Amino acid sequence: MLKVEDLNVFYGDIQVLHEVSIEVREGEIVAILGVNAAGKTTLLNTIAGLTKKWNGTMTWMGQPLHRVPAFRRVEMGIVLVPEGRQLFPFMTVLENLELGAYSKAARREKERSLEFVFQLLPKLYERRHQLAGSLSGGEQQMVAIGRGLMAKPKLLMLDEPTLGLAPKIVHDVFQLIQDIRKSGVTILLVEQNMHQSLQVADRGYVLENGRVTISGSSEALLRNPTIREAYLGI
Amino acid sequence: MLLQLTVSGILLGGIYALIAVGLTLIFGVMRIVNFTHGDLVMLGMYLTYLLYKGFGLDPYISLFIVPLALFLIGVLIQKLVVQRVVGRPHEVQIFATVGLSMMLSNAVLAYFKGDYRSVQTTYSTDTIQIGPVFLGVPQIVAFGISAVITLVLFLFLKFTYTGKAIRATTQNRISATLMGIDVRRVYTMTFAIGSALAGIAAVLLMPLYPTYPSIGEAYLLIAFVVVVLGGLGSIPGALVGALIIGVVETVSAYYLGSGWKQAAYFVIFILVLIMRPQGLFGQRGAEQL
Repeated sequence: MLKVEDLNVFYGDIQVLHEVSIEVREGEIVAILGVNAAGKTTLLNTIAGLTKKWNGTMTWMGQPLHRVPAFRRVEMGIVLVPEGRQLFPFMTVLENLELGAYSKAARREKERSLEFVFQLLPKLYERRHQLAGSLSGGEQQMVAIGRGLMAKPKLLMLDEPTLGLAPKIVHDVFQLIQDIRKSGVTILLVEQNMHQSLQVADRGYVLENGRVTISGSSEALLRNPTIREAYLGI
Repeated sequence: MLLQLTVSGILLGGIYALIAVGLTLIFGVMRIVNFTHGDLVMLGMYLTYLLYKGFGLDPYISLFIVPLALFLIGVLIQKLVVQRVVGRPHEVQIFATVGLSMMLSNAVLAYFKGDYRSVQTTYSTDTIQIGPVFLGVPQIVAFGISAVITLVLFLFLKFTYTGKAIRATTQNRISATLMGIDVRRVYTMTFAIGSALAGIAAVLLMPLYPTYPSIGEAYLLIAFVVVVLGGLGSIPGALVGALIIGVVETVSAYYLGSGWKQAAYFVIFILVLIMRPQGLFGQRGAEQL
């Protein structure tokens, strides 16, 4: 459903991504892995339409994304839950979720989506009238993911959803990712937590200094000696 | 006497609130200080004057025309000038909006010359007595309309999708984009709404005060002091700040002479910057966001 080929991305004069090619098929969980500053966030931001200087080809369901501005990509079903949550801190949980359903198609389904999100994340229902800025880190991450789901995504991109969370909550987030996939949403996951990501993902790409160095099925990646040594410490 | 002055000041502050709320809304959403804001009031006043002179329209009928015209002027200014400098360094933004401000006031000066223009209505000097206080009818009407408009704006921002999009953009521009909000459209709407509010204020001022080409500077100054007092980007702050400045103006003009009222604003301005730089309702550091 999403195809990225030979993608180069620049911040000013500095090239951040080099000839990156990835593909996401419908129904998959695909993980983008790598250390800090490998270019993972840049890749997601470019797919979401947030970076300006890039070349290469990106197609969504066969359509080129070249001239599609970021806000229209949301309507097409490409939804990013950004790194660091980026909630609207002075709005309630409910208002945050409702804004997730801003695009026209999502607006029509708002009530049903809300029900779905509260069913998936019952904690948010209890907290719905609290200001988003007053929640704990784990709860804020749940709001961010819930807000992403309100947009009725076909592809949900999650940027480091477990960053800075307690181990118990990290486990919940990975469980949630699997539940979301079961509901029919394709997932592109960026993570530093390689071991747990490969447990839930079907396939993975390893980014190093802005290039894809290794890719393959999760089982193959877990067996790969380079990965075992460099990332899993086995 | 003090009671009389305070009540008059509050009524005047209601009009100032409309101007300041527009300025603070534009700042909050676009992070741009709009130096043309006073000139938008000036344009609105001249438009009201022209409609009165040319068609004999009562200013309160112009209330249905002038704000709409200002809304469109706002769209135009946003698209032609402001959109191009959003997110650019402060000096670029200041040069652009100050330059536009000079252009507008000088264009009006060239056409109308420097004379004072005013609208004479039958009710301009009517007063009502409530207890020991005498109140001018146009002042009461102005305050009432300002209050209603402010309430409508509040409900609009709180409950409509466009209003929510405006608030979302204020709080996090990138996230707003990721919700599918067309941030450019939000900018245009915000600037146009701010301009229309200036237009409403202009119509309400016209039965009370004459206009002249550089009057925008005076209202810009008032709006700045109000916004800094209330906290940059804060609408409740702008409302409270406007009422305080209205009272300061009438009280200082009576006791010190009307030449001193600007000095009085500045004393307040400086005190706020020293004692509470974030303003009454502002968040610390909000101006840097």
